[in-house]
Amino acid sequence: MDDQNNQLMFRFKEGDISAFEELLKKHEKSILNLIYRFLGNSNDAEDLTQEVFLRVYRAKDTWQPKAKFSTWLYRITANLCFNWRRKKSPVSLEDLSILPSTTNGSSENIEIKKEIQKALLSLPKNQRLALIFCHYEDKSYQEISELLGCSVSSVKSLIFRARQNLKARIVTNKLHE
Amino acid sequence: MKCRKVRKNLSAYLDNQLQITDYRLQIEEHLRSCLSCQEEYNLLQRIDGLLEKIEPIEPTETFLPRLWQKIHYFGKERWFEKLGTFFPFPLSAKVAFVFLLGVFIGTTGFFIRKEKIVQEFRNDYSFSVGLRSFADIPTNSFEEIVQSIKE
Repeated sequence: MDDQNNQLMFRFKEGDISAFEELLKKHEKSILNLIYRFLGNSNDAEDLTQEVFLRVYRAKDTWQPKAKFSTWLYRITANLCFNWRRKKSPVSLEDLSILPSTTNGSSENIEIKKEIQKALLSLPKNQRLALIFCHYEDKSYQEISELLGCSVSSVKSLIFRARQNLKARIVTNKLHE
Repeated sequence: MKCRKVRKNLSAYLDNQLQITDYRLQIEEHLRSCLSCQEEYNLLQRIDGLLEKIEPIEPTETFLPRLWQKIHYFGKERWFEKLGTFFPFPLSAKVAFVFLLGVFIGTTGFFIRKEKIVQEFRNDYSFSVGLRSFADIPTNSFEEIVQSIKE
């Protein structure tokens, strides 16, 4: 998988734009959703995803296959997520209404979704990102430690605390019942 | 294993990320006998289930065109970035530099133009004075008397 990514990046380095398009096609959805879960807003998520791929494009001449391509890509994403500052106001409840509605989306279901998203957004950035990598991206604690630049035990602690914080909020709002 | 230790490791157990395999067996054994820890485990599982309610999204139709637009724009602005490597100062310093450069060029241009205009006036003046020197000497004037004595 990563050999294939590296080959595509080498082709792109040599000037083959179609290789970049292929990389984009392969990773855009996962990066978009990772950022969307982190920010809670689809418009901002698209903007930041574009920034991630713009960085990949810009790194064409300087890129070296030191790490796995996916690790490098997720690290760019993590850095951008950490440094991201909203231009307008902080995420409000209205922003969360952008959440996609499901086919069986009753109003109660939508309310639960909003509350879950709010609970996730209330987590500190590092806890939120560690939990998203673990839960949605199926990354191991070892991989997350490489992405966040910390030890495996720190990752374990981050995810433990993230779940405890979520639990406190969810139990308070009785969402688990 | 005591409840406190089990609870501390439940999150990693849920993610199948316990480093020590023995812990896993000990936790499983503890969960079978401790109702309170079992409830905590079930709650964590339910929270994970709730997280699934945040469904994935699809990129909008404008996502790719906007990205290519940014990439295209990046190519154009690249020369400015290269310039930035030779002039590694904050934006305010760059703006001040451009402003001062503009003032310098404007002032210098004004003085060069002014000098040119003055020079043109001088040329015109000396030409007109030169023409006057060829004019006829009026009759019975002092100049005519002097001229006749000389001859």
